[in-house]
Amino acid sequence: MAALLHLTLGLLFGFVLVNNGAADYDSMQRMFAFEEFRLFGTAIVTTSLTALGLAWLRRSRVAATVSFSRKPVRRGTVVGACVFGVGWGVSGTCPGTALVQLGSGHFIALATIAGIVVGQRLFDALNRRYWHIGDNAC
Amino acid sequence: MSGFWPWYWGGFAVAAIAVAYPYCTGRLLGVSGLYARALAVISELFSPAPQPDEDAALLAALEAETQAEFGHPEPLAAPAPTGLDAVRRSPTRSAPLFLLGIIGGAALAALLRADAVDPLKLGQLFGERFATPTTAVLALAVSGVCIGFGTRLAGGCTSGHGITGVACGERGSLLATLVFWSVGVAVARLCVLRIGA
Repeated sequence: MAALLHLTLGLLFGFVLVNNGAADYDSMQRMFAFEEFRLFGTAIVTTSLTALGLAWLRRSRVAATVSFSRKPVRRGTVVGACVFGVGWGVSGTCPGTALVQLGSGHFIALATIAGIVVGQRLFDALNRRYWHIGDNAC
Repeated sequence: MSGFWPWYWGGFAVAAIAVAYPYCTGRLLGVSGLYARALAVISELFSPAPQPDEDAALLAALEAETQAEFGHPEPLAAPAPTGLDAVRRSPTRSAPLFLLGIIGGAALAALLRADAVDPLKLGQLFGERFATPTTAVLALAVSGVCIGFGTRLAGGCTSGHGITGVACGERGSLLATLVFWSVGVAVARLCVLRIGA
């Protein structure tokens, strides 16, 4: 049940992101350059409607069974977002859209995905040894 | 390239999933966190099986003896949760299947759209900026390392911080999103200047 549920939600997510053009490099770069409003508008609508939806979920009957993880500012928030921003800007890709690109036939996205795995492992290794930042990754 | 959904429908569809996900699974949606969980599950599969715990075995034997002697205690009320409730309440190792789902859903959408897809490029602009396959693979691999490292350090990515966290008004997410948007815009601008000059 749980497996099927996660798989189905993922299927929908991938399907929607392709049709949004959220995984389209050229669209992303035109958004970064402020040449095209479309993806920017998509982001604004997404976040606003999600805010409404999650506010409803917090008051709903099932709220007690949902864990609303907190995301306080912590050591690493700014530096991490900067490092991610560099990768995002160059590749026009985030962890979700890299999988979308692979699925839609851009096999070169395997390089991005491999890089993401290596980067996460690298962080975990360094964090275990030196930094000890609490793990509340989304 | 055109032929994408208009921004309001696209935004509505993503939001519907970002709300349906915690409604169904009991956890907020965040893709970079799912990568980390996928890695954890995979390394668990390949690590040697844990040794049976002697203390636990002893406790179980004691419990069995006690129950044989004094009979079974009445179970405490609370009927077992069913359906979605059961999924929400139990920790699951199947969450990373969401990532496989993304690949499958994208493949399906690409088949239906029937756009021309170059497996070694991400688009026309991409091809102009990274002319040879070597530079393209290198650029993406290095970007990937930045994405993986940065999202773990910041505790989220475009979905966990940018959509869910900002929607919840979490301060860490608002700050992270502001920073990665600004840096993304600046870096994309630098790419254009350097390559387009």
